[in-house]
Amino acid sequence: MPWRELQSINRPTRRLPLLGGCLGLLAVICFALGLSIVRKVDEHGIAPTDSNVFSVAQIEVEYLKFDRALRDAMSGQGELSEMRRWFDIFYSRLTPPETSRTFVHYLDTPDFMHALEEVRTFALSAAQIIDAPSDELQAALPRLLAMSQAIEPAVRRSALSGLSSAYEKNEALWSSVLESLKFSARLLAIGIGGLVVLGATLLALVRVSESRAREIESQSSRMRMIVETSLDAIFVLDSRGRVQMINEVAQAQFGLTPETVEGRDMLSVFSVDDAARERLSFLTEGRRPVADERWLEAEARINGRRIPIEISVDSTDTRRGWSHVAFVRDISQRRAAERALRKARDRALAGERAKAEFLDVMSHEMRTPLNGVLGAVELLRDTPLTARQSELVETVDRSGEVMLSLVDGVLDLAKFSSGRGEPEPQVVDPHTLVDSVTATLRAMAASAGLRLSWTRGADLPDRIVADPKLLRHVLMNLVSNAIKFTPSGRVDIAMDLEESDMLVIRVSDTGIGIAPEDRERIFGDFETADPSYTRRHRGTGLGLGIAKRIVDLLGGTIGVDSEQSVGSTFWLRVPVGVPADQPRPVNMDAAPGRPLRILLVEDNEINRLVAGDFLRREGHEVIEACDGVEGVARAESEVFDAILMDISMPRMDGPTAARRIRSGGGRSAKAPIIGVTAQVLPGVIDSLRKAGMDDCVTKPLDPVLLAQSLRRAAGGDVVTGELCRADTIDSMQAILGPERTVQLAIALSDQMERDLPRLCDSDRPMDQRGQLAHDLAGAAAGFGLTRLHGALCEVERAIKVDGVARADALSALGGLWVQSRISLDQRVCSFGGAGAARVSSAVAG
Amino acid sequence: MLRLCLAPVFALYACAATASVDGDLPAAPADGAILTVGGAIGCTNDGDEAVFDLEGLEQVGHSEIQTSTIWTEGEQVFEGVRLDTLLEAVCAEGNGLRATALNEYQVDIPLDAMMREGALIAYRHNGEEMTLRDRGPVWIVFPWDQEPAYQTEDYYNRSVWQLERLDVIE
Repeated sequence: MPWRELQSINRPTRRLPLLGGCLGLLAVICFALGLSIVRKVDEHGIAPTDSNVFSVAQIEVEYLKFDRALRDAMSGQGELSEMRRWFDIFYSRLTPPETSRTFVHYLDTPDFMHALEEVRTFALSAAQIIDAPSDELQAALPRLLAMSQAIEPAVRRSALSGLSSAYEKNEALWSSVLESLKFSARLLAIGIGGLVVLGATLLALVRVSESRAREIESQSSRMRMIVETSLDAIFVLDSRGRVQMINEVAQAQFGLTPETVEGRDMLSVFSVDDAARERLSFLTEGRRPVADERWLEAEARINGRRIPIEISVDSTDTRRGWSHVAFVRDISQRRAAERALRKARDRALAGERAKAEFLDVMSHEMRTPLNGVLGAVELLRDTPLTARQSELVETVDRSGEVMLSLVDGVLDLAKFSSGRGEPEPQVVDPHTLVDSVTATLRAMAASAGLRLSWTRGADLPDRIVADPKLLRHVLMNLVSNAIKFTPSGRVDIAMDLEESDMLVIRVSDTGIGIAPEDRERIFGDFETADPSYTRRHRGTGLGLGIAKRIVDLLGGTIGVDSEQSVGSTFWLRVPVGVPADQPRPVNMDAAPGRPLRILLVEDNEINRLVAGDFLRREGHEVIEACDGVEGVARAESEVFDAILMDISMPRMDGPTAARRIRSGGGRSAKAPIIGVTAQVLPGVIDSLRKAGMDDCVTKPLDPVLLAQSLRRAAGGDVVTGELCRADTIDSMQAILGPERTVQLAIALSDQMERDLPRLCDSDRPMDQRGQLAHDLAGAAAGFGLTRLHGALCEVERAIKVDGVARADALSALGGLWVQSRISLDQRVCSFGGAGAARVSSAVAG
Repeated sequence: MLRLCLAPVFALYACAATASVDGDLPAAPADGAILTVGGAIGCTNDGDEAVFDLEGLEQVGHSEIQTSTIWTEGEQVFEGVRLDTLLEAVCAEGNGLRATALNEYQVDIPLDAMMREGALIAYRHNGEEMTLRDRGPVWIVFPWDQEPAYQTEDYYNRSVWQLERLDVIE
């Protein structure tokens, strides 16, 4: 990876300024040292120099010369003038330090200074003698000699101390100079070392930069290769969007040459409009394009032609600013293809629409005169006709019907194929659905001599979410087909819920069957298995086609299983919704209450239909009234076993109607009235009771509760309750399971049969009998045997409060137990009847 | 550059210069000789030497230097003959000079430009003749104050006092 190498370059590079700084510092130090050395050397100029030392030494020399001259003069071998001369010379050597700088260096050498002082003192005293006239001098010579001899040690001392001091001082100076030199030499060595390191670093840098250059070279040649072999035109732009490089393809495709475009702004090469320029604003703003800025289509004008182009750009931040690369494609071909496709599609769609509209219009147009024809035929039928005329009228009618159904079929076809038939799902009871279909087609089946029935699967809920109209349409179609194509036998409709959301309807017949090769075909438009049947049976051949379209619309599948001459089963599977709060499918095979004659007073048509359907399914006879007024009228004139009264109705509401009925003294004045209300507030129930209603159920109608209410109403006196309450047993079965329920029921039976005789035994103590009554009452209540429970409670009360146990009450218990047991039996689904016999005999005896 | 620096020195000399007579030496004195010039010289007044007394030297040349020295205190006035004047007078033919002092001190001096132009053979100090004790009678002095270049060990060594003779050497 080249990046790592770059990093390693950086380290030496970073070292450079550091090194440079150190060297600079060294140089400064060396310079300073040099200056100090120079200064020291300068100082040497005022250090004891050789001439100073010479002067000090010369003191002794010139003293000795004087001394010799003095001795010579004394011995007569020398002249006095010679002696005088040497004394003067000696004397001139002794200038005091105050006047001459000769001895300035020795001021801090006490030995020397003392010696010099002694010598000077001698010189001054001697000068007096020597300056005297010659004869005096001659006479004084011995004295002079003595003085001279006396001073000789001092002279010697001065020379020696002066010399040694000078030596020391020079030594000190030179060794400090030497030290400085050594120090600067060391610094220099370090400096040189630094230079060497610098050199090595530079060498390393050079090597790295060389390899980097090689790397870049190879990379750039790779890049060049990519650019040149690309199939798209590539533009390399600088940070301002100016063209730096274009590849061959760019040149060929757009007729550009490097000379004409290099340095020019790419956007102006293509003469794009301002909108495109806006999109590519990042080029000049010097930033990376965000995702949706990287690609755009634009209109370019180049070399006089207008070309639609597609540009995709990306950018990268190099150290010298942004660099952009743009791929430009000429998309005129693609545009043309897109246009052609769009046109074709539009044409096709238009064609479809035109076709559908045509069918639609034509059907409507055809319908009107058809209706006229059929209407006229109807009227004709009512007029006196000859046999021949009747025949002809029938022919016209039949043909007219066929045409009408054809037209209707075409309309439906058009509606469903143009997608106008949107399913409208709603909560619907599948039973109602099938009921309406069978009700409608029952007559047709009957006239064909066929049995029509329907069954449901155990999992079919009472409520599903589907479009009832569409489902009914399909069902009608399938069932009517079945009827048509079944000469004899039966048509069965089976309905179930599979996979928890698939409604499956199977219409089976014992008809002529369908040949295997026709099974697919028949679902096509205008197809029938055998065209001759179309003529015999008034079919358009459109039915299955429409059915299939509807099933497709509902997202389901439709098909047929068939065996020729045996029968066919048309099936459809349609996904439906299942509302969450599904009441447990009530086992409708449970014994219903006895069929009742019920007056249904409900203003809402749908509600009326639903309730009415349900009630009829339960086996009841239902008379419908649309509002309170009608309800009251009906109740007055007819006998009903129960009245189902909606609470909120216009003109006259439920409670008012109930009061009217109760107070009207009509034929159903005493019939139990069950109110149907949307509200469940306790106060409401109370007020309904006051109005004369006996019970109420809430909307939406719960079939189970409604059935219970009706049973309560039918089962005799509401106050005394029923023999065996269904809901108690149901909940027992739900919680404990059927088997356990049976076991418990058997246990109850045993208890009853054991204890009822005991209760009736007058020999037993009263408190015991009272306790028995109490226990049995509780047991009875546990199984919902309300009447038995009530009776037992009464016996218990009589025993405990009144202290009596009436024989008739006791004997009634036996019979009541038998009845209750039968009822319980029915509920729980049976156990043996031997116990009952035992109880009866015990009670009777 | 050196020549430029010496310009003020020349100026100083110029004020007090007296033209010397080439090859025209004063007669050798009978006594009172204070300086003898020998060696490689062309012009002599006593055999192969040139001997001078105070008047003789004064005749050869008269210049003045005002300077302090390391052996005295304060500014001094020296009168004497410039070395180059003297050398011309004796027709010196050498490049070196050997100076000998009365105490037998001897030093060889190369006759470079600085030497020729700066050296003054002084015979008066502050207007007075110099006694032996005064470092006289003849003292080679330099314009130390005017020209710091003369303030070196070399020139202090060349500043011979109690000068006895000068010998021109190769």
